[in-house]
Amino acid sequence: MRGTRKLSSVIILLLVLLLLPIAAWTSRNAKPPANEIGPPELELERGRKLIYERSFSSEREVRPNRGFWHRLVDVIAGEPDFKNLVRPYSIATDSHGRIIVTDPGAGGVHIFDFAQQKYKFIERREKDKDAMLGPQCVAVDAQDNIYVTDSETGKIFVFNSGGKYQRAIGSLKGGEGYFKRPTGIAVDSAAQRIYVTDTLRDQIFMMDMQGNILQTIGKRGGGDLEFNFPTELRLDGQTLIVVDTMNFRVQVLGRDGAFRYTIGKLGDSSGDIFRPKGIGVDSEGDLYVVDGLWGVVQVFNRDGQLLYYFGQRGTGAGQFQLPTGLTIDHDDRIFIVDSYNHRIQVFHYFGSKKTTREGM
Amino acid sequence: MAGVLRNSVFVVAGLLLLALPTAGQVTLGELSTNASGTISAGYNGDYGNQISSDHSLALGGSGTFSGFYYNPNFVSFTVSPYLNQARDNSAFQSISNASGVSASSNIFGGSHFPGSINFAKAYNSEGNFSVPGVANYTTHGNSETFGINWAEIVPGLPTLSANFQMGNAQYSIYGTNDNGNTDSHSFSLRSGYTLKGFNLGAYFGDGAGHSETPQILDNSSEPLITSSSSRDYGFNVGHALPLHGQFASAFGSSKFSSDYAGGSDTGTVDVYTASAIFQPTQKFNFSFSTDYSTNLSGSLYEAVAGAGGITQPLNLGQGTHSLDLLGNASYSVMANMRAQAFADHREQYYLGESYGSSSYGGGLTYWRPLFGGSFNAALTLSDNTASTSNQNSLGINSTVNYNRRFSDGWVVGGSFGYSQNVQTALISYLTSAYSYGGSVRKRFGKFGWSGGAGVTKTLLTEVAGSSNTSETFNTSIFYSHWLTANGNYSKTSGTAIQGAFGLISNPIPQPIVPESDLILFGGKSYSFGLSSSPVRRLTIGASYSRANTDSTQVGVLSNDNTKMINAVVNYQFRKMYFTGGYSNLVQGFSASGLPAANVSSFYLGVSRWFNFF
Repeated sequence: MRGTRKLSSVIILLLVLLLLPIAAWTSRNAKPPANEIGPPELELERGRKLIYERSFSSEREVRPNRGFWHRLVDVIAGEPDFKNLVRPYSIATDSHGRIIVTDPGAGGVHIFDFAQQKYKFIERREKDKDAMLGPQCVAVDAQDNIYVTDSETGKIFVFNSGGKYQRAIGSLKGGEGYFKRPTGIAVDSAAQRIYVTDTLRDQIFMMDMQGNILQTIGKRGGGDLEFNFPTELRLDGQTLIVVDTMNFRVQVLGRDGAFRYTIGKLGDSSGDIFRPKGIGVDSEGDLYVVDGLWGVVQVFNRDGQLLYYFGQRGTGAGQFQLPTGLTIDHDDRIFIVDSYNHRIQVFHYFGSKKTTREGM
Repeated sequence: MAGVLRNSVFVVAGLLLLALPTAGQVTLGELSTNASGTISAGYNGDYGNQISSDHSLALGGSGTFSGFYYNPNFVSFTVSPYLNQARDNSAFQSISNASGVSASSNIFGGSHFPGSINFAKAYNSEGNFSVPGVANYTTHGNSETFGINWAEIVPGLPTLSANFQMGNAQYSIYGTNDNGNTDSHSFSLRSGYTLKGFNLGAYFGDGAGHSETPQILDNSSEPLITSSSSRDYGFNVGHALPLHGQFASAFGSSKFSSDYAGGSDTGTVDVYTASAIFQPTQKFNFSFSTDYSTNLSGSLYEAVAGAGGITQPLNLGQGTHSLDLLGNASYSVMANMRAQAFADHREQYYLGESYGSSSYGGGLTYWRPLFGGSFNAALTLSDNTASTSNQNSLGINSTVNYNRRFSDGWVVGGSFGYSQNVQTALISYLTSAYSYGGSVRKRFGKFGWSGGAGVTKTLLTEVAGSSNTSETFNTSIFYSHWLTANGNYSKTSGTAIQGAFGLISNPIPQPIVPESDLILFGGKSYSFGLSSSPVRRLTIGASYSRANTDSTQVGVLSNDNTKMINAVVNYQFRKMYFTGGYSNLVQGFSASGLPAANVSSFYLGVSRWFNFF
């Protein structure tokens, strides 16, 4: 009697523990793949066009087709804890096409490598020395080293292309950070310069690669070379483009810090700028400016004229909720951080001509 | 037969769980649901000197099924069942394999008619038999609670809220043959309305309880059987006054009855209160208040019952009553200093005599940054005069606190308090007390340490043997994720009364409680804990606790002790958890005449977390 009871217990145990995950797996796999219907293709003048490609939000999407053994382990032990975008902010791409996203909500930096089907998450929250607490903006240099501003600790963290910590710039004795609130960052590998905006100081710092300050650019105000909470930075050719947030404009400077011109003004019409966030420049030199409140991306030419815009507020494909960072790779793929929708949306711009841009 | 039945339950449970992922895909109209949970299987063994040894494969788990219909504010629900959960196979803090379910539902949330229902049932769960100031003794048993809340909040109409609660529990105490049980229910209605600037309110309440409390400390084989019931109602009114003032007045009536070991008592307590407060300037306010109770004896009994105590009816004689008149004023002398003054007059009639007392006094409260830290202190002095005996005494109440964080990482804090001749619920008794304590913590890179100590002593002035003392000491250290260790030591002594789940501190002046209900106790307890996470997802933990108390009730001395050892190893691989655990409890009461109970259990198994849908 006791032996029969034990045998039945074992059978029940095996049934429950094996059939349950299989049932869960089959029911999960029975789901039809979600067909992401994006916005219609945007036809532009002179045969140019902008199309929506896709979005992604998780480590899971880096390797969508897992092998048999991986799937078997997934069934028995459950899928790994994939990292998801929590509150992504800034974005950059490197020479290998990897997409690097800062995520203050997750307390780290995501590296998506779709080509190699690899993913890495960089974090330093638990470190006793030089902990990274509020990763804000990101840039890469010619060697694909990753530079991350930390608005909470007031430092800049440098990681190599593999995500290994190299050093912290602006780390003072006692653990304090030199910068009050570092946000935007850009790296000029050719000239060995790092540009960082200190939003609370209303200034841009030009440094060498060791973090020695060579020049400070700007002061508080509303005139030329004056800033009111500057944030994102982008290098393009011989220019340094600065988002001058509370002056509701984008200032274009030379790499030496000399003023050149501004784009945008305050307003709530097309072509006006209300809450400028990320910026980028495509292969034709047109400037893309994300407006966080309206949920659109406006595209200006170098004369400051609005060419077109795309996006609207919402949760669907091609729609944004509090978009923040933007970057454009060498193939004119536009990566936009859709922060409140916890995802990155990818568009592809097809221009009418090939142009060669200076620098970079 | 029982085994077949149990296996059948497992099969049905397994099939239901298998069906859940499918059911989750079905859209049932406006119903939206989520379900997740953990299912575990392992080898479990229990053995001891008062239980039959058992070892077998065991299934267990816990889960949460939640959802809403139409909108989370319309109807939402959560159901959380658990099966065979113990401290050696989960984070559930029970030495025995506990099972049960808890459920709650909210309806019409955010509307003018919100309501909620809650229900919980537990089988074989661990409970506590408490002794003030030291580690609790361990019980096990079943319990059930059920409650409904509903409210009507329509603008322009009187508000109404209704509440019904009921519950029962049965338990036995390891180391004795004694069982206890409690059963209670209560119903209340509250209403409020604002009419021409007057804030009006009314309430009604009805409740009853029954308990059978094991008398393990006085070697009685019969439990102490008590029943009580109460019916309350009352009204209150308030209105704004000039000088930024407020006036409030209330009447409350409470009719109670109690049965205690065959005897019974009934009574009615009517309480009238009135108060007025004014704040003519930001810096200055003053207030007056008065309250009158028609039954002082009943008020004290309700204070004991409200604290969970069980005692015979308090016999303070016929016609007891009390009156209190109080005036207060407060003025901000500086930004960080406030001065107070008060005058209090009390009249009480009990034990066939009238008592009166008057107190006048004042004090200062002061706070400021000091030596890089924060400092605050308060001192109140009073002149107390007992009109009946014409005795005069000086009352003192003082506290001092200081906290500082040093730049090198040290964080220290200290406190001291002293009171003398503070008035209690009865005029003829004053209390005095002192307390002091301190804490310190420091982090050295990956290493951290903290420690703390506290000592308190209270006593009724001029009543020998009325003191209660307690001393506590604790410390903990950690080194990164590698090691966390903590230790605690407590020592206590004093006088308590019986509660339904152990001993409780006496909430009223000690001589008022019949001597046969007083329990003298003294004891000490200590505990140590260690935990480590040497590699990611692997946690190892162990703890040891021990308590030893002596108690004396109606001349019977009982030496009681409890010892608990617990160790758990857990490794997580994705959604699977590999767990091994061991628990041991040794607990005995010398007055019970039984040897100490020695109960052990171990577990080795695996569990898997599922997000069904």
